[in-house]
Amino acid sequence: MPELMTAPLFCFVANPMILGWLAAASAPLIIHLLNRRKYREAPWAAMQYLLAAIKKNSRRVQLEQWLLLALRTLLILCAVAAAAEPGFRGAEQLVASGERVHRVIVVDGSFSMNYRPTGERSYFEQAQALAERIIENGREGDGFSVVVLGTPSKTVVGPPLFRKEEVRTIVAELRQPHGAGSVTQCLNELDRLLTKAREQHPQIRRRTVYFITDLGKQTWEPADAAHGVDAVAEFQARCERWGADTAVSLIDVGATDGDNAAVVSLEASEPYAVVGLPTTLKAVVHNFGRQSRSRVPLSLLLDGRKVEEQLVDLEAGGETTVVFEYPSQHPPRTPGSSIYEVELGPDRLEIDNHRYLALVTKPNLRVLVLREPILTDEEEYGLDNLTTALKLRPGADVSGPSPVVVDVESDEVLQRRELTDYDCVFLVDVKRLTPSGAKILASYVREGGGLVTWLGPRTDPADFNKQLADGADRILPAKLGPIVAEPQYKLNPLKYEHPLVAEFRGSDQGNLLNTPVYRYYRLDLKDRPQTRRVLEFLNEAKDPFIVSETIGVGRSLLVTTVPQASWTTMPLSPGFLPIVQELLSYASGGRAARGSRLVGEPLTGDFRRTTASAQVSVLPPTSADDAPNETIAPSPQASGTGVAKSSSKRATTTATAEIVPAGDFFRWSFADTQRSGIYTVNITAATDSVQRYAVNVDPRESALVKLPPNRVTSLPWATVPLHYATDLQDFAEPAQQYVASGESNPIHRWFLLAALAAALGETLLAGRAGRSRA
Amino acid sequence: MENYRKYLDPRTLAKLQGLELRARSIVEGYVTGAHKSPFHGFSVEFAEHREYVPGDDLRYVDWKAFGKTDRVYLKQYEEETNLVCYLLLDVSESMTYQSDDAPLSKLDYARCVAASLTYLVLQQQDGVGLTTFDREVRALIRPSTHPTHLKQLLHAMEIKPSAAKTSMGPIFHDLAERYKKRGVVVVLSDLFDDVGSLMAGLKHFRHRRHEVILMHVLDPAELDFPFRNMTLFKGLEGLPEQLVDPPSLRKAYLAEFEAFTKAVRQGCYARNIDYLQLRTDQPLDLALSKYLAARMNRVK
Repeated sequence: MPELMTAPLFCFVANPMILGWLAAASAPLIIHLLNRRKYREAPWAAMQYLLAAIKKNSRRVQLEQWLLLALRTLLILCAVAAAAEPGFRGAEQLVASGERVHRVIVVDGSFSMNYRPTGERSYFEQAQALAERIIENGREGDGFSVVVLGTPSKTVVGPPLFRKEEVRTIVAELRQPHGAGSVTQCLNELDRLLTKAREQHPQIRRRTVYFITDLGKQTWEPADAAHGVDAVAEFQARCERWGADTAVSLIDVGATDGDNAAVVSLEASEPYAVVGLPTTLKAVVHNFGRQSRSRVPLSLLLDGRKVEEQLVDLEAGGETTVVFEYPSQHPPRTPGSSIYEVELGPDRLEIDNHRYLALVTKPNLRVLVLREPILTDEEEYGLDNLTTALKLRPGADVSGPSPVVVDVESDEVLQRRELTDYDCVFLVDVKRLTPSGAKILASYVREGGGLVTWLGPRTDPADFNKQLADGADRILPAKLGPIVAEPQYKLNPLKYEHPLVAEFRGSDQGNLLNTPVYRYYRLDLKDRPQTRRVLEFLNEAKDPFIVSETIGVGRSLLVTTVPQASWTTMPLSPGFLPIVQELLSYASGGRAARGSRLVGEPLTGDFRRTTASAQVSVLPPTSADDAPNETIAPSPQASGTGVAKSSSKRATTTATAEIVPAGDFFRWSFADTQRSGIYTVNITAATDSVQRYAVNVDPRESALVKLPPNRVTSLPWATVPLHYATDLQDFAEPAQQYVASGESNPIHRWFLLAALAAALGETLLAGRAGRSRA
Repeated sequence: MENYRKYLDPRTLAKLQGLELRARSIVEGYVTGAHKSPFHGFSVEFAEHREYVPGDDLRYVDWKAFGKTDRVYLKQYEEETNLVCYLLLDVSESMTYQSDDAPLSKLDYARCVAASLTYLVLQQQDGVGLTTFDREVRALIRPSTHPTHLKQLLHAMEIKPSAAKTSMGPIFHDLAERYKKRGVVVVLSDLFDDVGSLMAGLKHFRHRRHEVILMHVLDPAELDFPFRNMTLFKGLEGLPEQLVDPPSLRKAYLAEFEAFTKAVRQGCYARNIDYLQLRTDQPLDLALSKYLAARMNRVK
């Protein structure tokens, strides 16, 4: 209530035009005067008695007439005042007008709204200006809510705010998110908002929801439509459900389809860089426009410093893959974290011209190989082949120590060794695991570890199925079936769609597809929709050879055979080395993949519980990384697509991540990743550490295809009136339908009661004066 | 029974031209309808029989006695037992008032009543006289029993009303001195005068041993005051005009008027005067029946 004490209290009326009817208050007086001028004449014999009555009652009659006149005038004044719906401003709690409107402003926050059609303001900035106009045009007493449509949509102002200036400031300070948009998800948010607002402010019975959008097809008609979810139909159905007292305005700020090019991918050849080993960095640029562009600069920045620039030709509608030389020519010399950024030459949609990669450099990779304690010669030989293949990291100096450290142990080691030190665990023909060992392994995988399981003659399928392939803690991608002893000589790469075999596409120099397998386990993939086939045998049963599944953050791979001569001779094949290295790279990449996120995806991580107190702070992208903060304006000297860039520094505040205990670890998460760039995470615990995460835009939004407006406007809007506007200048308030107000404004009610009392008084007085008996 | 009453309705009588015709209609209609003679018992007082002598009026021969005795006797009446009726008709300007809903003005109604009484009294061979007055006596016709007297009285009743204000007290004092023979005094007036003065005059009649019947003729509008709209009431008999919102004054006016009629009624009661209030929208036989009933009570 302190606001009430300080807020000035001003009267206002909702319908000022009605006040003109106040002139009608003079009607009783005029009628009275006219009546005195208009009379009939009559002779009267009993005049002396009439005169006597007049003499005795003249004062009373005069008083009654004045009172009647006053009551009739008051009746009209009160009725007019009630119809004008007076109220107060400055004290929202006291405001109650039957005609107040809850105005919900939905600003499309998909990053296509960053498009600048003619070098002027972006669509998003236009939307902000429009929102401010809507607020300005709102009447005193109206409530405002603000929602930014995105993934997820964000309610900036939920419960209606009644102070225009405050709402306007909030809208002006909105920063455009860098994510995609989902109308369906936003409608859910609006449902919650409107329901809550109805409960909190039942006296506000009218609502208008303004959607200010560029009608991007990805937002309004996403690929999900192919699966039966028609976002536009859902939009209409949901709006209709809001009821006739809710008007919907669709304000289209988007022009026709725009030209745009974007860096849609930036990947390193390995999930981790290793000290001394060259890394291959590859970027893919997609030209979504209808015109080809030549010699467009594409720069590589390492930790903010430009280290390489290439000029690329972008074919209309095509993709161009660019491999940077600098990372391969300059292997990292020390462990740590490197931030790579690729920047494409400017165009009218700036956000997707940047792509980031946080690459962790390790001193070496560590692999734990678990096997049975006592091995036969054949088994020993096969295991040697496997460990040798693991150590032969491409690019490494074979004369020096291997960058891959392989520890070969029995499963008992699970009880006494810290698994998080390993990037990957290989289970090679292990008979069974102890329950505690299985639990430790499950925890390791879920927290980002890699697991590659080779199935052999010692494997106990029943025990594996029970401990590792069943239940909530399962870590195997499939259940084990019977052993198949039918030699297979051909593998199906399944179009090389799995990233593990993507490198083999086009040049199977290792002859991977002709790997002979004599025995293998048949897998049961029922009820395992998340399991992906990497390779399968080219037989009628299409039995899988390798399958994978992401478990938690980690990755689990299952190879249905084991490198032993009686099961497969693949170690003799040239393809053995690369497939083992790919198995290692892919399996160990789970934790590394956590370092790269799309906008809107939460950042998560773990750290060991060594202290009772811990804090995780997150520094969002700074202005240096903050491309959207840059104001693009046409350069007077530049020609063609050249634009000059000026950076507006904006203070970035540190946010705190949520922390929850998870076993021996603390798990932290940070959900507010609405902007692309590098997020720096400081973990303050027993040992402080700094981690950096790259958050990139979803390239699907880069295709600037606009939904035809008539897809929305031509729908049969039966209950809710839809108002469609395209131009900022032509924008006008949508016509509001009248909604009978059951809830009365208290002031309004008092005036009505006064009018009623005046009418009652007039009747009684007129009756007393003899009119009722006349 | 119901058939004759329509002829007694003031609205019907209003259509008849001439007082004589109206009076005849009232009286004959009343008598025919009643099938009972109201005349005997108060109009002629039988004294004795005497033997017929030539030259006597054969109308007075008692044929029943002749049948029984075979001798001709005449019925002998005492002269002083004959009734004398004095009609006092107010012809002031206030009596000319006729509201929209009334079929006759107060004066016309009073004339009908007076004419009817005249006709009735003459029919029973009693004497009847007439005095018209306003501020002063306008006409004074002495009582007579001759049938031709009717036309003279009716002619006198047709006198044009004056604009003068009624002043009954002095006139009644004057008339009380003039009426030598004891009789029945019937006053037909709206009595819009000073009640004290009026009662003093009437008291004078009673002092002279006259029976007095006061017929208070009023218009229904004067009794109900039914006006709704703003009205400029123009006073009669020299009273001023006044613009009035009738609904606001109706109650007060009715109270004043009720006080007036109450004072008159109480004054009459105190002086043993028959008081009859006549509304001009009431059937005229009511006036006759009231009059006759009053007379019957008197002679018992």
